[in-house]
Amino acid sequence: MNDLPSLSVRKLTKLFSDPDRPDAISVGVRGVSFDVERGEVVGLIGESGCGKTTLGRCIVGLQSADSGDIVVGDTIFSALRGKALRRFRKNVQIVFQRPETSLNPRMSVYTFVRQALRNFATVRKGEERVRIEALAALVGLRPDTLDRFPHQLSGGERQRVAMMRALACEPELIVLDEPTSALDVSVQAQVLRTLKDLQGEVGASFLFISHDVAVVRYICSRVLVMYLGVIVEEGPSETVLAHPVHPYTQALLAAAPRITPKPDPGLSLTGELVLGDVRPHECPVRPRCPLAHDRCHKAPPMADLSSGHRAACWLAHDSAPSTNMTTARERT
Amino acid sequence: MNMQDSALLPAPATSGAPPRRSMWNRFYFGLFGGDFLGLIGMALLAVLVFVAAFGPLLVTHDPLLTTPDTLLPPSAEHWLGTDHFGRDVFSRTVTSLRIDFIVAGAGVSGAILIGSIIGLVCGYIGGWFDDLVMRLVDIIQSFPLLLVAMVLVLVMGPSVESIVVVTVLINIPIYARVIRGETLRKKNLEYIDAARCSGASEMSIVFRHLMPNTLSPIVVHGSLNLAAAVGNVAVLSFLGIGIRPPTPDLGVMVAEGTNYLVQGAWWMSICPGLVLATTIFSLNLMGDWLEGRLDPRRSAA
Repeated sequence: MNDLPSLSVRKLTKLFSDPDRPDAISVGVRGVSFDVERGEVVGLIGESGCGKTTLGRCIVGLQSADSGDIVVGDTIFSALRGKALRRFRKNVQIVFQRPETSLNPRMSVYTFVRQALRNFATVRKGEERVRIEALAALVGLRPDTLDRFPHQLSGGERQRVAMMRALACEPELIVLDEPTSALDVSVQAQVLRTLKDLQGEVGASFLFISHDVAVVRYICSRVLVMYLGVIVEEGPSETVLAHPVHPYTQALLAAAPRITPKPDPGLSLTGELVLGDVRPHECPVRPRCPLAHDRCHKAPPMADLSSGHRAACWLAHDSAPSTNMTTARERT
Repeated sequence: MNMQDSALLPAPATSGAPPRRSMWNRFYFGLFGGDFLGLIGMALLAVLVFVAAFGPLLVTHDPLLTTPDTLLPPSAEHWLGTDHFGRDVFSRTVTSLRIDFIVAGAGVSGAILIGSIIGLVCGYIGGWFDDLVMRLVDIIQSFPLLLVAMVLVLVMGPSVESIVVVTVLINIPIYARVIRGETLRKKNLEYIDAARCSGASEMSIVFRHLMPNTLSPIVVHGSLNLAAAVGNVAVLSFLGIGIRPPTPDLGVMVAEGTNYLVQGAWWMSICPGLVLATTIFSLNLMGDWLEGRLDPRRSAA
């Protein structure tokens, strides 16, 4: 039981099509599979609109998938309904992106966090205050913050409260959907430091969704790169972020601002994402990829490069030590 | 949020006492934001509510007692004169105000209660249920007030209860619509999702998390609506399909008084008429003040 991954996503698909533009490819998540091991911090990066948030919401059961499974521990979370679903939510929590709307404006911090303890009966009623004060200390909030209302808190404090709520029921896995991207840079650093310390203490697995490469580099041990609903590259973050293989990852990293610009800016994609140009059953990056060639009209398989480092690109496939066609991802 | 992450820092040292402002300044600028009309409205309304609340203690005569002293002009004995049955106009006006406030208040409260629940449930559930119920609400709204009133009075008989029911019925659409809109706007916010992740049941999401966040527009709508309701009760009574004589009502009194205007008994209709106008005026001022006060885009503070 203990060697099961915390989270196992299997061929998850959730697509949204635009009725006004039938020619455009539908966006969302298409056939994504990956695991998050117990206690692991996995980063999920990609540009806006690539399906990161949809994937996160499906994982925590706020959105139902079109097909595929979400397995948490040994339970198929995505198959649960009604009361069983409600009870199981204890194991999978989420921290949202926007601090303005992530807290209930009519509830004090204490009441807001307490609901999780009450609903899941995590602690006895007499011990709630003690437990919540301990949680506050864990996320770096003073105890007097508990009796305040969201409008009396700063953005950083609100995100800390959101983290408290997520931690309150001692979940297996926490999805952090860009928890710091709406904050000032200085506050961002403080919150990230807290998150990093916290992860070691509570031992939950984190899926950290972000578009900020630097943040992911700082906090994650493994990283998934997503483009148009598909994972194009995955692996240990040092490897992926230092030696990206997929042209999209290379372009994404080259686009990240640096203090001292590299003499060679590296690869960059051409133009912007035009949904009408992308065809199903081919490589989604093809219309913008400078290295695209004939083979890219067929979806590339996920090539194993080194320990855990995989990329969905024909060029990576050529250089892979063992050519393994059986891991080809399904694409719709 | 331009505040720093202050909970991380030690508590700031307490600075010197803030500069003192007089009670009046704090009251006028703090609460009313310098809104003079709002202040007038609230002051008038406070007097009217006081009179209505303590009416039975303030009246000088029995409002229903007929005497041979008919159509007396205002005097020390009868402050606002007497009517065609020799009843004291002042005592009747005070009693009317009380009845009208109760009827309008009960009607509007009922409409708020029922309308909010309809709006909340429709907005949250959506789909065909929402379509069906909101079309029914449209149907209610398409009937004119007088028609609804006449039909109901015909069915239920002319009574205070039927006027309350009319007021509830014709005001339900306002609240159902407003609350439904607020619900649609708020139901997909992250804190609702957060509540769901915290294991809240659907009932708890709707009534504990969603409802308190949708109610703020009701305060403004309610006070403006109360003004209209007081007016409507008077209109219905004036036309004889509302509160029936001898029960005193501002509309009834104005209606009765008009018959004696030509004889020079102006006090019979002018006095209750003025009270009615003041009530509606002050409720409207209060509504405007609340709107400015509660809408952050309009409040200066």
